[in-house]
Amino acid sequence: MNNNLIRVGDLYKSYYDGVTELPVLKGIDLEVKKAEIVAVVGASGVGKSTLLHLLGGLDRPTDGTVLYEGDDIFALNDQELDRFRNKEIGFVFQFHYLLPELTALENVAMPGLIARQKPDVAQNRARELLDYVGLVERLEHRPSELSGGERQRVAIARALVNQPKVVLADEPTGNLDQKTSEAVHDLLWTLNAQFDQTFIIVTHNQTLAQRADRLIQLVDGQVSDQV
Amino acid sequence: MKYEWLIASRYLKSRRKQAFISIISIISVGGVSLGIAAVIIVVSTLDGFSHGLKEKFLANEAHIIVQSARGYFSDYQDKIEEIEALDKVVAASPLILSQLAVQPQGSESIEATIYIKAIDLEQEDRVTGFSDFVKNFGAFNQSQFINEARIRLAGKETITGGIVLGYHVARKIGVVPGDVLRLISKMVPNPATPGSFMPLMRNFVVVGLYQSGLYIHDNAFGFIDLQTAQKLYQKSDQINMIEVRLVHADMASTVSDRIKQEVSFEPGLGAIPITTTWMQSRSDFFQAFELEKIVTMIVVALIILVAVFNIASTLILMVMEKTQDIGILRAMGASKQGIRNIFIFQGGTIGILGAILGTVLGVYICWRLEFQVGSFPRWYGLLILLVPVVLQVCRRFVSLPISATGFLFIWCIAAGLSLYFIAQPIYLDKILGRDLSAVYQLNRLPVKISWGFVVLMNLLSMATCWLAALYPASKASQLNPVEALRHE
Ligand SMILES: Nc1ncnc2c1ncn2[C@@H]1O[C@H](COP(=O)(O)OP(=O)(O)O)[C@@H](O)[C@H]1O
Ligand SMILES: [Mg+2]
Repeated sequence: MNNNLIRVGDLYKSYYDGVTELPVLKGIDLEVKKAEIVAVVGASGVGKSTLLHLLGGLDRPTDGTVLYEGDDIFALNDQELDRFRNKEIGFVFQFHYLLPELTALENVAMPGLIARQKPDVAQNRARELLDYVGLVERLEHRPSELSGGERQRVAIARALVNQPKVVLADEPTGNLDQKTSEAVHDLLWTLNAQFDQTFIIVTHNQTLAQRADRLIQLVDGQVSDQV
Repeated sequence: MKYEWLIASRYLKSRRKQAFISIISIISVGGVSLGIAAVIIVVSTLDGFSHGLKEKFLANEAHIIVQSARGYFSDYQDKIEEIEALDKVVAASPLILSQLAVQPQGSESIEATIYIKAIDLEQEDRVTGFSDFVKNFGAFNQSQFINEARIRLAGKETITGGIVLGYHVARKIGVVPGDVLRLISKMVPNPATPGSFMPLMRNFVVVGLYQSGLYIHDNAFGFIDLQTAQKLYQKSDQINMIEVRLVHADMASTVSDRIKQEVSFEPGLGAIPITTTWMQSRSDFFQAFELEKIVTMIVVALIILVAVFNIASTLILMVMEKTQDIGILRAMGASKQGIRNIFIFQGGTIGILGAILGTVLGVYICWRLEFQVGSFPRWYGLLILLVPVVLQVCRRFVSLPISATGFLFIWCIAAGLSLYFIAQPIYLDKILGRDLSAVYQLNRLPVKISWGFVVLMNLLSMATCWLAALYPASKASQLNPVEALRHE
């Protein structure tokens, strides 16, 4: 089954608002190879975030399958799905969602702690990654003491700390200015080159979309175009 | 450290932006502590009060009374020996209890009837400590007072013996030691005028006053010598009661059952002794007390309930405030159980901290109420509280070399000292007035901490705090992470 990491087959997702059904994803089919950087684009409200949540096992689809290396993640029960997210997926959102009471180091160590690693193991690993994203001076700072770009870099470090197979980024630079955005993009590409991790990035940013290995365009709940 | 603990403790300490959350957690802990402290103090004082009364009651009262169904009985020294041979029995003593009319000398009428206890001084002392409660007393029938009365009344009246009167009995009928008292033991047909009766009277000299401190005793009894009484009542070698003292008052019912098995009077009906324990004779009183204790306890326990609701609402607020955190934690792979734990740990921490603080506070105040260490005006306590208040106000204007921890320390010391002065032994006569405190004969409110109860209260409040956290915690764990992350 070649080197496809992810296979999405006929994926449907509808939201139910009391009585009416709102279909968002209407039969998505796509494949993602290992170590690929894929950009997902589309109009606002088309269902990009919804797709990303399903790819990360954060929500369950109305119908269809998401296979990771041939295994359907929605065949897992809730606890197994939690463990899958913890080990194999790293999320980065438009908003950083760092825990405000915790330091940068503790925030980055959190996925390791959730995996029940020993605190010092998790913290050492977190320190490495913060070093890698260039924040070694900021270990003990709270999110409120960091700039927007720094916060997003901490969030990226957090997504990577458990060495996930896939990093799912939902408009990771949507809140950042041009210059900071580019720095964050560079960081993503360096990480990809360094760790061979797969990136699926939802974005409105043209330069980022151009730079990606592949572009997936969503229109009306379906994949309209793959480049 | 588990990540649940890390997050829970940070949420509790959280200061900066959500400063009000940490204040709320302080208030929650304070609520639980106040509740626990109040329950401990109230129950300890009530316990102390009933315990003090019990001690008073039992100091001069037999633990068990043994009677025969047939009234008077003989061979009582044998029975006493049998009873004293039983386990846990300290001593037993013979007694004739009867009610007699008394006529003070010089008075035209019969003034009162009183219960007369005819006792064997030596044996009685071992059971009720009789002599301890009578000042300057040697023996019933040998006293300076008797000699003086004999001289005074020589040729006119004969003196049968001495009588010790209850302090309040003596006051009521207006006699003092040295006075002569007529005891009317029964009425007999008057040979001079057939159809009428004349009283059988004997003169007794008041040789002492019995003052146990318990009004109901001091207002009811007179005491005379057993052998004198046996002659007076024409019941030679007979008594109608045996009083028994035990090692511990609480053993009364067990020992009383044993007495019924082991001791018997003449064969036939009524051979089994009739026993009355102090619990039976005082049951109404102590039951009322228990009931009052339970009711008070329930009312005070409501404080804890309020504190627990407070915890529940704090945590619900917290869950609402931390929706995004919950969402991202779930995205990172935290399980529902993990999210639930974060909030349960918070409730548990508040409960445990509150219980510990409350217990320290409650026991400290009880200790202050129990022991008189010097005597200070209570307003000293308020004066001392002024110190940290003034410091706190000063800090607004000039910078003081005191850290936040330093301030906490100063506040704790000030609060402790302040309580030291405010909580002092409570004197009943100041609250109830002289008369009532005389009835209870407890001039100071005694405090008795029952540690079993303290432990129980702690466990109970921790358990309810845990229960209070359950609802917010399960709400938090049910949050849909996708929706939690959608906002912002
Ligand atoms: N929990 C929900 N309940 C109802 N409708 C939802 C929910 N989540 C998303 N939607 C709807 O689904 C559509 C797709 O949303 P989303 O995936 O966030 O779009 P995008 O990220 O492409 O802007 C939108 O129309 C949105 O209103
Ligand atoms: Mg979106």
